Amino acid sequence: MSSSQIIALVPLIFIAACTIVSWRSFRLNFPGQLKLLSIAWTIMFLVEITGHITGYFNIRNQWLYNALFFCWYPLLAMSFYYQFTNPVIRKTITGFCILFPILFLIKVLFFRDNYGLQTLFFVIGGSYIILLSILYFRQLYLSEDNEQITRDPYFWFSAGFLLYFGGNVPFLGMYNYLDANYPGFLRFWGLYFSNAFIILLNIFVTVGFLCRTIYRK
Amino acid sequence: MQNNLQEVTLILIASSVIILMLTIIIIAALFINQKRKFRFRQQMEDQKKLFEQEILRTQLEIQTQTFETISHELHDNVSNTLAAALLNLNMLEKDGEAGALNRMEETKSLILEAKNAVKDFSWFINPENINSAGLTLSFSQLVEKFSRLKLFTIDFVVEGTEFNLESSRQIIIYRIVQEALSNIVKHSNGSTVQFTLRFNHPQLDIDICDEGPGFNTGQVFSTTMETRGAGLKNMMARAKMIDAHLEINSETGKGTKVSLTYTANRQNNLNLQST
Repeated sequence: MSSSQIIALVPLIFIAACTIVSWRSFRLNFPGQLKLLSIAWTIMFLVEITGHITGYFNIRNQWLYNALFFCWYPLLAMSFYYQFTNPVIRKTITGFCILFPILFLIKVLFFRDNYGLQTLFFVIGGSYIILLSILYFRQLYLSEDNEQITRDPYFWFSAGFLLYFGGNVPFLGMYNYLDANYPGFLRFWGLYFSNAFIILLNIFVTVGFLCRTIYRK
Repeated sequence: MQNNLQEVTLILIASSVIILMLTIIIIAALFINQKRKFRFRQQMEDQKKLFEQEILRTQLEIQTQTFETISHELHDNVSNTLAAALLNLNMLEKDGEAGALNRMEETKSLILEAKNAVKDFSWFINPENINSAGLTLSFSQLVEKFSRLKLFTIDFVVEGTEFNLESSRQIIIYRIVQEALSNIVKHSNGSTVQFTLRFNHPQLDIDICDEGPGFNTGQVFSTTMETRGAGLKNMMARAKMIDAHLEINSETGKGTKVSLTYTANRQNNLNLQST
């Protein structure tokens, strides 16, 4: 195993840790949205393991990540649904959860480029999650609630999403272009920077799942 | 080709740095805002505690003053009335049949007088009665009590229809007026006191004017001595506490006018007219 392959395994350890921690949402009967997020993380963990194994044997695995985007973004958006008090934002989440998979399927089925990474949908989905994170911060800012924001799991999730998607949307948006023209740079950036953002995201999400154990019904 | 790679690297680095900075700024703003919110809430709670303490102190003062009044009244009024009634009963044996009837009637009216006085005291003992009776009735009882001292005549006028005020506010207003009338008893030699209670929902105006010797307001308020003007300063502090406007105008030889204006909070108070 080369050093780059070992480094590539580090984010997987963080994802695994985060996924295991997220399962406490079922054990401690956390609210539904946290359980939904736990499912999303479990899917991501399984995809990442499969991705690493297929990558190790040089098998094209971009279709796997396309499948991950397909279900991951609607799940993330849906988990935000009950956190928002604004009905307009809730409606946009519903709209996103319906439109995103439809458009994704249309693109994959009718434009016949299902072997490449669907960077456009990564950018759309990522930008929407960034928007939701910022809107959630705005809601926290205007909120009259007495609770400490550090005890709110969605504060940590939003911070993690903002960092991860903020850092990765420009990179994955250019993924196909970089893959065709600068594969060396793509591997370098992916290995160090993209993985750093994944680690950060998983640290924040883990803290979010651990920040409290009791929730109001 | 190399230039393109530089551009791509620059874009990626710049966008990452911008996002990182943005996230840090947003989170910092959130923490600062929450700290400010907590501080504000703490201040509000402190003010509320202070207000409740002042209410308690005011109630205690009212009680103390009431007990003093009762003590005086029992000694000077009830006790004397009952002594007179007892004397009448003793005299019954000596009077003839016709005289006894008159003496019986006289004794009855003396006992009735004593009974009414006791009833009045029982009303004054409990400051909560101010809330249940309302300001008009409470003030008319207060006026009656001060009138019994026969030091001056109080011309008590009520204008408009009374509306409900929050109980804690009522007690404070009552205490301010009680203090103003007590000051007249202590310091004024005037013969007439004009006491006007004006209800104009949501505004309440109270004017108390006396024709006493008056005083130099500037001198009294500027004094640093604890005891001098303490009553007036208390009145001012209490008025401020309930967001009322209290004005004390006085000049040596020209009497004193105490004016209190209080605007009720529409959310907390119900207009009796509408109920």
